[in-house]
Amino acid sequence: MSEEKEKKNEDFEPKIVGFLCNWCSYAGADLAGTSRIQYPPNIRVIRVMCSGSVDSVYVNRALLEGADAVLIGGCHPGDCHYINGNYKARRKMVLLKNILTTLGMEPDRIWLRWISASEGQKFADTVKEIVNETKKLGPNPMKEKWNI
Amino acid sequence: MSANETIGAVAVVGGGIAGVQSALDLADMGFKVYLIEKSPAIGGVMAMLDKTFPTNDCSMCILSPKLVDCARHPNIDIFTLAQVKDIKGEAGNFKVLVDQKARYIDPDVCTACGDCAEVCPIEIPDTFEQGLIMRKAIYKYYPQAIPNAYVIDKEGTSDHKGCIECGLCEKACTAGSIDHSQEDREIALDVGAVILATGSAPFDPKIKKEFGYGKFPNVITSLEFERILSASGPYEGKILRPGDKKHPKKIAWVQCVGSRDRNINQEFCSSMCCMYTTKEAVIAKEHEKDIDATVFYIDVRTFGKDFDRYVERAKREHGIKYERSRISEIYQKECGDLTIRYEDVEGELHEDTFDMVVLSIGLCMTGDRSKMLSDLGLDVNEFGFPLSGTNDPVALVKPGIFMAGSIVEPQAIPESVMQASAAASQAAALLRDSKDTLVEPAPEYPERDVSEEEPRIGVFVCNCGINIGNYVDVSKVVEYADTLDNVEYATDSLYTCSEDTQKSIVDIIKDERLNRIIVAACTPRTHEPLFKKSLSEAGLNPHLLEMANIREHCSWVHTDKDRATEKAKELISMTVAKSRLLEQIPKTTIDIEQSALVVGGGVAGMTTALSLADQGYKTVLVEKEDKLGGKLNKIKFAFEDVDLDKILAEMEKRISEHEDLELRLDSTIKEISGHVGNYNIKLSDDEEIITGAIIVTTGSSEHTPTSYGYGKDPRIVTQLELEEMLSELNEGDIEEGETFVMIQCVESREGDRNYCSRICCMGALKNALKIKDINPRAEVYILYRDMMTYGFFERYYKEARENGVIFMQYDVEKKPEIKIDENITAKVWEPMLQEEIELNADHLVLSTGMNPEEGTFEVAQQLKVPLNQDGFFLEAHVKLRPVDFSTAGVFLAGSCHSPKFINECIYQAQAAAARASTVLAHPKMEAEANVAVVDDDRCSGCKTCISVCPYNAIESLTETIDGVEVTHAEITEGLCQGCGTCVAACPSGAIDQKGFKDNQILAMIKALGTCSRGVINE
Amino acid sequence: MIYELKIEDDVPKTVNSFLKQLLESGKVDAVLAMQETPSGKSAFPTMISDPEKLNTNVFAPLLPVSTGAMVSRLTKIKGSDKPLAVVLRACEIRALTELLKLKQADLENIVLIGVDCPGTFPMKTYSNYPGDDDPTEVVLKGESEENMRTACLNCKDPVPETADMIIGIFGADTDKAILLDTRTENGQELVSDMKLSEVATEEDREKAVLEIRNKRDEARKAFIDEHSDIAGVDKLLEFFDTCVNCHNCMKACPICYCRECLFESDVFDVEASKYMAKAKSKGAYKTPTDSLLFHVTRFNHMILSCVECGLCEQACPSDIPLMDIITAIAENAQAEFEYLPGRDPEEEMPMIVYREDEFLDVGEK
Repeated sequence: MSEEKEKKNEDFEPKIVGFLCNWCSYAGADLAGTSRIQYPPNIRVIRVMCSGSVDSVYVNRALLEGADAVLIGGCHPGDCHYINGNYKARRKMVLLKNILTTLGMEPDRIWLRWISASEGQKFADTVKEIVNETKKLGPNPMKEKWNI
Repeated sequence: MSANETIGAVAVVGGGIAGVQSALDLADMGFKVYLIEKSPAIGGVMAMLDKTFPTNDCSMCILSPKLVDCARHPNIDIFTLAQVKDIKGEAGNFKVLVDQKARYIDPDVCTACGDCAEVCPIEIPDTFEQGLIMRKAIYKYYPQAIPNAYVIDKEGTSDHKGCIECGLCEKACTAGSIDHSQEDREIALDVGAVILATGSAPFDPKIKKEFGYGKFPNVITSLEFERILSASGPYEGKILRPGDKKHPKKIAWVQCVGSRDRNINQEFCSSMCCMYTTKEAVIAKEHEKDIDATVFYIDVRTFGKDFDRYVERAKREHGIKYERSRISEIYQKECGDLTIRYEDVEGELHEDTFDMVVLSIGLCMTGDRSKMLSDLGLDVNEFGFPLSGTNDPVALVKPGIFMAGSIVEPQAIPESVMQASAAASQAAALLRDSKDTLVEPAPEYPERDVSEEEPRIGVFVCNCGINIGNYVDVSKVVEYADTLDNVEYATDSLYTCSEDTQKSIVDIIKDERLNRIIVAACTPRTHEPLFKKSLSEAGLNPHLLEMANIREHCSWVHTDKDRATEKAKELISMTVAKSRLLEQIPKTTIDIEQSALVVGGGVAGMTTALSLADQGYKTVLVEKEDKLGGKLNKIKFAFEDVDLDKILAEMEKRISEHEDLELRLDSTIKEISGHVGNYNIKLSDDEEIITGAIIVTTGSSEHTPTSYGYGKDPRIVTQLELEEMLSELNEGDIEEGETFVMIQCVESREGDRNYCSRICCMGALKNALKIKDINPRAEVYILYRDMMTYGFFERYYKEARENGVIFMQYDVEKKPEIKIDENITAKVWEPMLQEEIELNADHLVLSTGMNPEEGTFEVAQQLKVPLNQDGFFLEAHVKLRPVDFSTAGVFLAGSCHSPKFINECIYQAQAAAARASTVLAHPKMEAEANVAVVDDDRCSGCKTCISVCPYNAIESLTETIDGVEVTHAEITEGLCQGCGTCVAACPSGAIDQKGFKDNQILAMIKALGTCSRGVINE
Repeated sequence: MIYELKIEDDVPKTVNSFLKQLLESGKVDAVLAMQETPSGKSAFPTMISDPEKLNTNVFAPLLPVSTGAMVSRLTKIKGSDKPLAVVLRACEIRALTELLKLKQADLENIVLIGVDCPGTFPMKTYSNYPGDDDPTEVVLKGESEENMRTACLNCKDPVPETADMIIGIFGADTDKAILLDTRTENGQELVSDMKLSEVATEEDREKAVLEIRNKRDEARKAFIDEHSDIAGVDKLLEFFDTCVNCHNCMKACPICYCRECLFESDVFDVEASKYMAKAKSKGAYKTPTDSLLFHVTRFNHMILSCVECGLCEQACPSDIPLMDIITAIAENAQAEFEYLPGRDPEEEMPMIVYREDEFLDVGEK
């Protein structure tokens, strides 16, 4: 990697959009808060009722708008408050990532993570991990494109 | 006393899962509930668990919504730090005297920020964390505690002093919620019924000196291990042993510690330990793959639904080792490791060393709980557990007082939940005439229609004392909010949730004609209802509120003030973008036909029907045979000389005389359509019925075996056939030496009937004891795999052994074989003697278990409810919704759920009646607000949404529009639970979820996209 | 049962004669099959009820629309109450099967007659075939595949497996006879009154089918490899540089069934200030907006059912070679879920089902 790009990457603070399901992952993020577990301020949370309600269009839109990473947080398989929304979310995200892989559109910017309401630390760790990995990927090239 | 003098309130004593369930059911039915809990928060033992079997659900995740519902329910008043001293009066009119200790904090003012604990100088062992870590004298019981407030411990323990009243906490609390001068008080509650749900105590293994608990630091209890496993526990979810905080690689579980133990008067089985041990071992291995786990057990009691499969998977997939053994001693080595000395099935002595030993402790009735029972003058059995009224498992001998949960008998969560609902239905029946008398309907405010107005947004940013203010530049945030389009008013306050700020918000809304409100503060999960109420008061539809989480998700987790402020700004920008597009959501209600249909007239069906009718709901009971009773007709005798014929006759009489019950014999269901509150049913004789709820109680039947020569020789019978035979015999009809050989688990717990039918071990014991009664010199052998005599049934196992019944254990790999000629010879492998024993049987009795009743599949199809892989009905949630289907308005009970005993059928049936009552209680039911709606014009009728809806809430509707037949999806508002999965499944975007519309979410994404680059006016 | 149809004149006329027999027998009220337009420049799936007006050329090597989509249009509101025979190619029947699963078609009273497809030419090439050759002859002779559409050269499967009967040319000596393979009871019933002779052996057919399938499979794999460099933001934007957002690809696609496409609705519309803010933040902002989003979203919605018919590419006014990327996307996505569109009408669509024990590493750390 060129020095210039490396420096740019060092200064680069990824912007992460997080779709968190109300019952598990959003509560897990709340718990991280109540437990005062610190993590980098790169994530912006959008509350949804269920990970199964996260339309691929939202994720695509976020990426094409220039989000550097997108996190979809859901309940652990079997725990979904709405019974099986997370299983459907899983299939949707697998499909989306598959398509983006073929298109070379950096599928690694999309993260699907199961975070339960009692996993505050896991939420914080996930955000840290996403920030680190996304820094390596660099800023989303979509940001600069005006003809998308 | 006449019925309408009863008090329409119920005291529920104990805020564990059973208490919470009873409280919610009764509150939904229209009764005032006083929920009394000894500790500073509700949740009980279930809140301490990490995961629950057999689904490995996160315990807190499934419990927390119920706790929040309790806190928010307008009909429930929670009293924490409270214990019942006395209950005076009688059924319908009790006075419950409660001692409430001072919290020294006002829970309505406390924001749970934790600043007080930061400065408190006193440390006390944390009881919630089982003493594994310390907490402060001022503390919150556990992170998700309800009430969400701190409490001061002035008592301390025998080794640690409590609060020293230094006053540092008071100084630190900017909300002013601390008051050291608060005093204990006595409360008198007037109620019509009482439900005791105080549970039983975890056994303290210190007295079992041979296990070294209390002496050896790495010998811990299973409850301590739950806390260790928990991500919010003392070691943050890392498995460490308390002694030296090393990672244990080899862990042993020791079963039956404090249970099945004659020496300490605990000769009963605690029912749940076999399963929770397996769960702990499985979860431990999920945390760390290479943990070596061994379970030392006597029997593995996997009598519940899917339990057998769970343990099998644990053995097969997770490699958990099971060692049938008797432990003589545990001793500690220098490094802290522990050596277990034990005897195996063959009688050989072994020693094995482990890094940590977990004692699977049972439950017992001691301490405060015992004291309460004796204070209340209640009769108890030999183990200290309260005695129930005749034939009614949840009713105490004293009328009007009911019980539920592990106060009844040590048991697991589903049974506790069922009993809790059962107790609620009993209380509801008792107080049926005073329903709705003590509950106030929520105040209604006139709402102004803002749909024609341009959005006028008000942004209220909270400082939350210093919790937000110190970490986010609130004034800059307010300034920024003001610059956003459509924001007409922006301000900040110290505590937005405080009463005076609420008042000023109402005034500002009116003065500034605001029509969208944003509160940027803590998580919506705490105060959203509070702010919504303020919007209502100000004349706005409550759904015009949106919250931005700048505390839990921002100020509490980021140290860089500048970046935290930037984040807060962006979050507000996103929230403003959504709120511009927020719409009013009118309150919708579903009309409820306040009557019920019960399918199946066995003991469960009769009980449910009677329970509902007793509560005043017109009920139709449909039975396919020409008489009631189901399998009750086949059972000839029961334990404790309970007269089943009399019970059946009494129930039949009550049913025929009940003015609210109609019976349809020789009747089945032809067709069902509709939804909760309005089901249209056509019976087999074409009679049409409309009801609001349906309860399925179709039962099960004994499995007819094909092996062991059944059907080829009259000497080979099933347990039911033996029972029939024995019921007609008298003394002398069995000869000395006449030999009965019983084989358990025939064609059960293996192959394609891989489940335990729960009742067969007791069935065998019942017949065995009967045989011995007829002739003590008859010979009875029971060849078993595991004796499923759980709970207090253990005493019958003991009785049988004392009466000379011989028990021989066999493994499924080495099943008994038989030879039939003029004799029947059973051959079974005896591990201690290491040889095959041959038994000459005069009678061979096969315990084959139960199958779902014929016709179950058809009923499931008609009702569109699911079956599990064994063909039994599949409930909404194994643990917390054991009598509900996920389709609203349909419930189940009895052995169609899974094989069970008569009294278990009874309380499950009562529970189903309670759950149905929560639907039927009022003529209108409020529907979920954030439902999904299909745009008919855009729907192409592909049914993708119908396939993905978990609640069967979407149907395909064919209508003629403008002369053309159009088929499109239609969402039944009453059934939609607002998950939004259909929204994501529809490629046309023809479905939108109120409050989470596509355009709203896209606007949030767009707002983030533009404001990230410092663009202000977005 | 595989029968032989002796050639009268030429292959298309033989099939036409067979269809005429079918119509005259009264077993079907109408036939939907490719019929050349009077000028001869084109052919369309046409409903023919008068045997005298029957002038079909079922092997006409062009694909103006997907017959599968046409069947959907005809039967979406309500199925047919009279018997209809529909002649279609492999990709068309696969598309129809997918549409059936989406409740966009009704096969009541419809018999599906599949035809082996040797390939098709772009519309313009067909109507003006170089050298004045007869495109049908070219394709039936099978000597040269020059000029053929990319989608056909990479055909997923030219044999219409799930039809009630197949009119086959693979494995037949098309100077002498073509094959008639009745696959279902319905298909057999249709020819039960005809005097047909069975083929001596099915081996030739099997061998020929295997050969053509292998040929297409290999070509597709090579094709995907060759174009695997169209990846990454820059290459993609370049690829779609000439896209004018007409949405023709979506309109021509037999799978895209939405009454109103998400991108033709108002869900993405915002006021001027928002567009200006966007322009401000990027410095420039092309209109029409959300072009790439349209394509990626369309792929998300339909790629699992994509039959690779190439109608999208054919419809594009800017001649964007969509198959260059779609072939790979379809292959990879369908492989991920082990799903083949059109393989089995009872098979459920991948996005509405799930297994608990799949993709176990997704979502975990």
